[in-house]
Amino acid sequence: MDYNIDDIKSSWQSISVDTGAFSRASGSVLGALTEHRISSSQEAIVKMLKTEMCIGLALPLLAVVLYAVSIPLWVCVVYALFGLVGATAKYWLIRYARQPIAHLPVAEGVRRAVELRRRIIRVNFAIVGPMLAVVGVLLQSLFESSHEGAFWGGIVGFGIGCFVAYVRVRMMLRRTRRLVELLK
Amino acid sequence: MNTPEETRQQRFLALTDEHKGIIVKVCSSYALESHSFADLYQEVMANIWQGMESFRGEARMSTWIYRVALNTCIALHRSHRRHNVSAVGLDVAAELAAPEGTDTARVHQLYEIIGRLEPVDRALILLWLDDRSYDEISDVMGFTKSNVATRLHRAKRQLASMAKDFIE
Repeated sequence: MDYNIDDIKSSWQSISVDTGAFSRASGSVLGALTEHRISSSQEAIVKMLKTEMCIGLALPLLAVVLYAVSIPLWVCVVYALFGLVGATAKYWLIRYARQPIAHLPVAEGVRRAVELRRRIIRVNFAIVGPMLAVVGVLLQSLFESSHEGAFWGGIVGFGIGCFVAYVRVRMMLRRTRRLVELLK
Repeated sequence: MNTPEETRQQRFLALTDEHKGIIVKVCSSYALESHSFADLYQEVMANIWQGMESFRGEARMSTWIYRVALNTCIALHRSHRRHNVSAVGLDVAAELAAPEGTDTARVHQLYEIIGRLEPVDRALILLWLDDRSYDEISDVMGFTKSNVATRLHRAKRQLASMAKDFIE
């Protein structure tokens, strides 16, 4: 192949698409879309945020259980409030994440995708501090109230949670940095 | 008489068939990175399906399809393996990425050369290769026309030099 730019252009324009293969592929994708077996990345982000919001909303219920096993009332109240504040933050993110990005001009689309990721990272970082305090106090209360099984279960769960969060935030930061580079 | 859902499905199939060249070429040019062609193709189609109803005709349909395809490939796509099934078989994906009846090796060479460009420069080159006007490139990319001209000039020089390196 010649490296003349006009030859590249004419070669490019001569590429044809197999109509039969395209019909089969679009039929399969349409079937999967109508049966909700596949979704876009933006939908997946919204779904993930909704799950996290539901977890936040479930914490007040868990606080009731904790109160029933003699955890001090103030710890349970702080735990429940933490869940509600977290759920509100996730709701705010869901509203932003729902705004359509795909049909915007590409430069604006990249900017919005970067902003969405930055907001998610900021909210997650803002949650880490209070979460450490709440979990610390909760674990101390469990330890003092002789619920040793729950204490060690909490320690293990917290460790796993921290590891998963670390990996996810690192991936998101790397992807965000790459997108920011594109805007330069 | 078709139901609204059936009408929507027929519209989707007609629309994507009309612009299949854009969809397949954009996905093939970005599938060289970490994502597979089938993954990208599936997501572009999902975004067209979702956004189709909100298209109000402010831009040309081809401009809109380019925006959806390029935004998906550059800004939105992440690995889907965790939360998506693959609706497109690998054999069909392979046929689409390198159709029979054309010089497959030449097509692969072209995609490989173009794939060496940075994602935004690649988008500009794809639009130029498809003979889009500066007005349409500017609409798709969201750059001013003078910015398009400057970036495109640089990208074309890079493309020629990469093609030369590739051949040598």
